[in-house]
Amino acid sequence: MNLLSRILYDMVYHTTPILLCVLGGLFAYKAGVLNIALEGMMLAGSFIAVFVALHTQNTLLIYLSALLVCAVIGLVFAYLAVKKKGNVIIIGLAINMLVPAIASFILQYMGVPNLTAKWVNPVNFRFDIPLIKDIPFLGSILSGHPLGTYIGLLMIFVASVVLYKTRFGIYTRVIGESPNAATSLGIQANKYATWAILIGALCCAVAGLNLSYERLGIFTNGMTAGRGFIAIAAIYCGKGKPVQSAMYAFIFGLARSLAINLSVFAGPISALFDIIPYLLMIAILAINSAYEIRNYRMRTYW
Amino acid sequence: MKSNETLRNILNSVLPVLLALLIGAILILAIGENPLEAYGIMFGKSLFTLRGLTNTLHAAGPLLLTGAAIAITFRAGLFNMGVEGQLLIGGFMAGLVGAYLHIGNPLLHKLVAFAVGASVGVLFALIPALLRAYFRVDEMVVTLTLNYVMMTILEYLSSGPFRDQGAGYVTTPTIDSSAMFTRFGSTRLTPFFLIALLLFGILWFLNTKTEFGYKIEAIGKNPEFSEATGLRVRKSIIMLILVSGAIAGFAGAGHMMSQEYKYTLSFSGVTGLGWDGMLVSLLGSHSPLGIIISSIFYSALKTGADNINMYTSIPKEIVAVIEGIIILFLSIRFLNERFGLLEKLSKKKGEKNEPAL
Amino acid sequence: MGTILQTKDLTKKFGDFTANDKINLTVEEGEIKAIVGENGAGKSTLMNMLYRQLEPTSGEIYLRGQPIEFNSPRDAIQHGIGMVHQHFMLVPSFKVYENILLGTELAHDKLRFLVDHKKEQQECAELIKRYGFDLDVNEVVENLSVGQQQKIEILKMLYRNVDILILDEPTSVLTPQEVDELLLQLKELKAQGKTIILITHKLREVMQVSDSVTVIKKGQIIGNVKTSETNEAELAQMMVGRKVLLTVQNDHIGQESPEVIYTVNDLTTNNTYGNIVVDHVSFEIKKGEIYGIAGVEGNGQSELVKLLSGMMEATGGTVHYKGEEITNLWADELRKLGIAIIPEDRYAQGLCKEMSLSANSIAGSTTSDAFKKNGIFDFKRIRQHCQELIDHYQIRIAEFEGNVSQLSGGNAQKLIIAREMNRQPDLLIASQPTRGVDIGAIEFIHQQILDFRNSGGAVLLISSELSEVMSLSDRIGVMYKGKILGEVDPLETSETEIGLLMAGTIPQEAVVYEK
Repeated sequence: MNLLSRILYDMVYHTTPILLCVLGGLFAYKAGVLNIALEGMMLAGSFIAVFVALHTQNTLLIYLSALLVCAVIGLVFAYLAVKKKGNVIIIGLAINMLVPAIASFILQYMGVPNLTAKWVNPVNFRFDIPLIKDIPFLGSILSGHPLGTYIGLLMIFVASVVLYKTRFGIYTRVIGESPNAATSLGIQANKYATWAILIGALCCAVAGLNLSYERLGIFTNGMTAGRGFIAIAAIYCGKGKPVQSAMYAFIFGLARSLAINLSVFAGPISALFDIIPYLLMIAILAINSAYEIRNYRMRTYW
Repeated sequence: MKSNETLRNILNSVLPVLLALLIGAILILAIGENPLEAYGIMFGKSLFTLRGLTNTLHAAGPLLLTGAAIAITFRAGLFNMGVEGQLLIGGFMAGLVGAYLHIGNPLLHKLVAFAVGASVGVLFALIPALLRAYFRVDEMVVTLTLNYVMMTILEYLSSGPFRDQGAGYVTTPTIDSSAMFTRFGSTRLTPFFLIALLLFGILWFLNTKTEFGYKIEAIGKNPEFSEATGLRVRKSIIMLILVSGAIAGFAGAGHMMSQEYKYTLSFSGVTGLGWDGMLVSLLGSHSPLGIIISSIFYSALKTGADNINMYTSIPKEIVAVIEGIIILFLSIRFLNERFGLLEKLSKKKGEKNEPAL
Repeated sequence: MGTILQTKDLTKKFGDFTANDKINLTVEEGEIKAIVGENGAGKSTLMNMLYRQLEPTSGEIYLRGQPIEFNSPRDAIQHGIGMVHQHFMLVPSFKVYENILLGTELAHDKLRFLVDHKKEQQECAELIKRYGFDLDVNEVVENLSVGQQQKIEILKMLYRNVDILILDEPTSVLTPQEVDELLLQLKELKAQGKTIILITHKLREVMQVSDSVTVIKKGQIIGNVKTSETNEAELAQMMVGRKVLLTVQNDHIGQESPEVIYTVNDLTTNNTYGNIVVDHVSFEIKKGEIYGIAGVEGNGQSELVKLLSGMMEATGGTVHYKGEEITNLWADELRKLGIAIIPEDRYAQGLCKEMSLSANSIAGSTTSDAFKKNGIFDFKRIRQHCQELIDHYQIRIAEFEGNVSQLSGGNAQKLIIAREMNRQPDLLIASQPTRGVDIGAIEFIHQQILDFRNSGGAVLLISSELSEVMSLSDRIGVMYKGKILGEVDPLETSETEIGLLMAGTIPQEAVVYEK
């Protein structure tokens, strides 16, 4: 593989967890619930996947346990936010703090610095897609990824259809945009908001699982490293529209891929390359927002 | 009427704590330890011995300030989640001042370190403040992200250019003794605690007696009204985020000079002093008195957790778990204005807050 | 025919406050029933119970003699009761057909889990044709006028085959011409066998269209009359409980002093989407003059007020006050110059509901030293000041230390007026000063404005209540699509002529000083 296709392959590779968070998280965004717990949910998925992988080699079981645990977290979020009308930002932050706390509590108790499922060989998780792999150039970028990546790519399509072509998606957008319209027609806002949050949690489970289990077979605390917040930024920038938001996820993936592939040439300062995706994210947020308010004449848009 | 409300406010803070301790107890039981004994050690060693109590007060100093830093912005409806990062850079830079500028004069050295710590806190807070004020970028996402950026940068600086080569782990050189606060007798308590209290008192005064507090309250409760009545919301937002950053940086500098003396990768502790500040502020419902009480309570919890390690096999991370659960429960109000008009009206409207950009 | 809807001792309490007290309402099938009452009398509460957006505390509802149990608005619709709310329940980014079919989407024939947008468009187009409305199913709602949006709301209910249509203050946002159109449409629907319940406080419309009237006051029914057997004055008296002057005494004594104090020249700005919403607006106000701005809501009046009160920035044009340019100054600077502002939305801009009365009473003066001692608030003086305002303007409060949320709409508005007038301004910008306040307070506020004018003050009055602008102003500018289309003299112009201007046409015979 030459450097370019290497970079592009890595872009897809590094986009995957962000992409999954974005496509799951945008449902809650559309439903008017700001879910900043994507980060914590993703970390929970990472932890559980490897934790279970210590005890079994059954991939299905590993997937199911990660999904289940994240679903529970999602339900807690939904219960507090939707049913009890709690402050979503505080709930999100609490989950973001609680998950690593529990993880490090367990790690401490087990007396290990991180979890390693020794049997996992990430290469075994990667598989080719029959037709696509034969496409020159593109095949080497899009093929040869783990399952999570394909789920993420497929989700772009699924999220678009669900959001715009099904009742569930339509109602989800209604409760976010004009909750009064929803209640006046008997659309149960709480139900749809809960499901929207739950979808986000499940996608975060896959994202986390991809990050720890599929890529490395290793869990280290804090390994999500703000990807959940980058996902939120991507959702913001794409206004929650699946394709646009996914595009921003790819931009961040590309930044990361560039940082990693080019760090080889940079020496010790390359440790700082890690911050590039974050700074890029802030820059894109700012440009996006500045563009959006270019016609704003109100002094009260705070 | 009023006293009912106060009681309700207190219960709304106490209930989450009790519930969190209960869940913590279940967790402790799950790993085969005795929760009563564990909590007994935690609070016994941190509150009911002179040594424990002074340790607790000592550790409450920075919490008081980070709590205030969060409260100022929270009350104004802003989410400066960058207190952690601002504290780190404040502490780091104060550490460099302490180690590399050999000023000699103890007072002057500390003053310079404080000034530098607070200033870098302000500079770092300037990014979200300006982005928020001029481009309407959500300050919460920006500050959350910048924390990672700051952590990465400081990790690079402390393990590269500013590493103390003699040490066996990543750390900056120890600060000069002229930059260290001297302890009171055999306790850990230093004048920094008093300085923190004093600064807190000044903030309290500004908040209750001057236009500063009026602005915070008005902007937090109704920004449009504030703009319409001439409070210049944009300018005020910048000012508040910067003040918050200054306090955070100041707290970091104080923590450096009274406790850590050098910058290591665990400078801010297991849970992070900035995040602790959020708990303190929420737990104290952003009120001055509440913050004082909750910072001491939480400090006791943390100091106690250090002891728990010595006497039992419970990991001290238990305190981080409890912290997370408390915050989780603080997100909802357990007791509402029951039978009140407010609840019914909000039900009628059925409105939800849209995510703000 | 016969009775279609009946309530028995229907009661709703919010805490200690009884919003509806043992309401026994009877609606005949196929009639247009008007329910009138002052703001806060409990009309909306009653309707929200019928539509089941609120749960009654006690009492029953009978539909065609059968007691009914609703659990949700959807239930109500299934029973044939539909409601058009005062504030529309539409999804702005959705298209017309999506809004009409919201909640009853049509599934795709084969893929049942998908929604068939094509089929939906066809059905809606047919519906619109059947009832003779004029709408494009593919328009996005946020681009439509208020009148058109209201039609969507009505269509939404017609699609659901309701027999009873409740309309909550349907005319408050329409032009006089649109009002006439709506009233005709309601008669048409009645002819098709629908029963209509019209909630309103506009008595003229009640007289024009209804068959019977129920008057509500303080949560109780105080009268049921046939429209043919009553008149406006009688209804007004029932609503308020005493004789009221339907118009204030305005002797139009202004314009004695020719000195121009306030000049707005070519003022222009745009909205978020970049569209011009205030378009080269120019006018001037003399001392001792009330300059009124009439117009259907949404034609740029809001933005104009925001420009003039320092909440929005102009992209072009100037404002001069006492010879000094004050374009784009901030709100605090304007106040220091002696400009008082009664904002459009009292709870969004005028007051902070969750702050105390005294904190609200010094809003706008906090930057000055008036209430400080050495830079520190003098709370004793602030309380004293607040008490003075309350006494002088007869503001009814429950608890002095409490928050503004305790005040009724009228008293909250009085607090704003008290605060602003207390600064002894030379210019008053009053936007929708009597919106949503009771008749007693309306009289009081109108008197305040006239008194201020008579003592030499200049007033800019913006209101969508045409009668208010007509009765108070010395000159009127009519706004349409961001422009001041024409300036008229209220003494020489009829309401119809102004109505035409509000709809964008310049009547030939009117005394219009074209701009």
